[in-house]
Amino acid sequence: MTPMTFINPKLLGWLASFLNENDRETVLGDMAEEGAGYRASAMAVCGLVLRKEVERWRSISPWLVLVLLLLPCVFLMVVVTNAVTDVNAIYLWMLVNNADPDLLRQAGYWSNVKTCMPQLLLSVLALVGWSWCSGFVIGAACWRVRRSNLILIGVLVIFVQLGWIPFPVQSVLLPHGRDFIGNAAVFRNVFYRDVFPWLVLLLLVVFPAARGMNDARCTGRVVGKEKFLMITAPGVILLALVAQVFLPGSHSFSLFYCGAAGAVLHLILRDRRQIPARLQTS
Amino acid sequence: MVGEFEYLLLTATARLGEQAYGAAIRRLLAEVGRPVSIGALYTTIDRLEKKGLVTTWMGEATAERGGRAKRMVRVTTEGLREAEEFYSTITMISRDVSWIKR
Repeated sequence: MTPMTFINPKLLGWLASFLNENDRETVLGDMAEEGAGYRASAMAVCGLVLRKEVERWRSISPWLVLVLLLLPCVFLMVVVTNAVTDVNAIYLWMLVNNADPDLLRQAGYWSNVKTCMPQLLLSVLALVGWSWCSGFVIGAACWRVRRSNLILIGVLVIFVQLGWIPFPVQSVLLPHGRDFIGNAAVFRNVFYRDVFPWLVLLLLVVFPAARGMNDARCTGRVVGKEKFLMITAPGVILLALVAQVFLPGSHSFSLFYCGAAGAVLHLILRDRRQIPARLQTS
Repeated sequence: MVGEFEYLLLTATARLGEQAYGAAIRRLLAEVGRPVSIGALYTTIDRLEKKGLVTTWMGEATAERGGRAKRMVRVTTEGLREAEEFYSTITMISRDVSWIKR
């Protein structure tokens, strides 16, 4: 009797999609020839995917990208996200949690809304742009290990946000932690203290970074000056954002500028037809 | 010089000749008591191909493989030389040791 298993052809097909076409054809063909079941085939596919990923880490470039780009980017992303979410949490709390019919009728309330909402929007755009840029730079720098890097970004974001990082690193990059003093009423609310930053990290940091990494695919199709621009432009934006973290007086407008620049770059790159045919390689 | 597992793959491929492809190599290695996983097999074949010791190409699709193609493997001249060198070294170092049957 065939043992019960949750592996089905769809799941096997999905796992095999992590392999290139020839490898997929070969492995699934070999397993069919051996008469292996879905479970054994899935194990074989997973084994090959993992081994191929490990093989890619045998050169120096993925390690350089990890140490020089990915780790700093993740730390900075979490630091900036916490700063941005905590500031916006205070405004949201003021506008949402304190709203009642009487307050809604007052002109002062709507004046506050007009002041706060653009700032909130700018912050959202800036975080998305910055995260996309980080993903793009990491993807362009080492496309071969993009899958491992994406998993690493997710895992590291969780570790840094939970504070599970070595003390020396924490003391340099996160010297003060999150500061709730003066706004205790806001951060007594579990949503603003715990849930909101995680939501923002997931939606405005991890997803856009994944998209940026995927968009870096097109850097492989261009050469020369265009390739140089594609890689260095987001790099420059990243440097500007690093300055936002370490220089005092950073504000949303600068973040927005950087985020918008990243978004423009993304729109240009998204339309692959913009890349002249002479630059495309087989 | 090639490693022990690389030597096994080169030898199995050479023995199978024109019929050398992933599943056949795996069967032959299992018959001589060295079962190997698909992952180990193909990553080693990739490494040997990068070193120029084997060449691979996609063969024909067959019904018993569910209409999927085989990845055929052939040992290059450089691969044969490396395998021969490994065998000579093993033979020389093993001379007069107690576990070699006289």
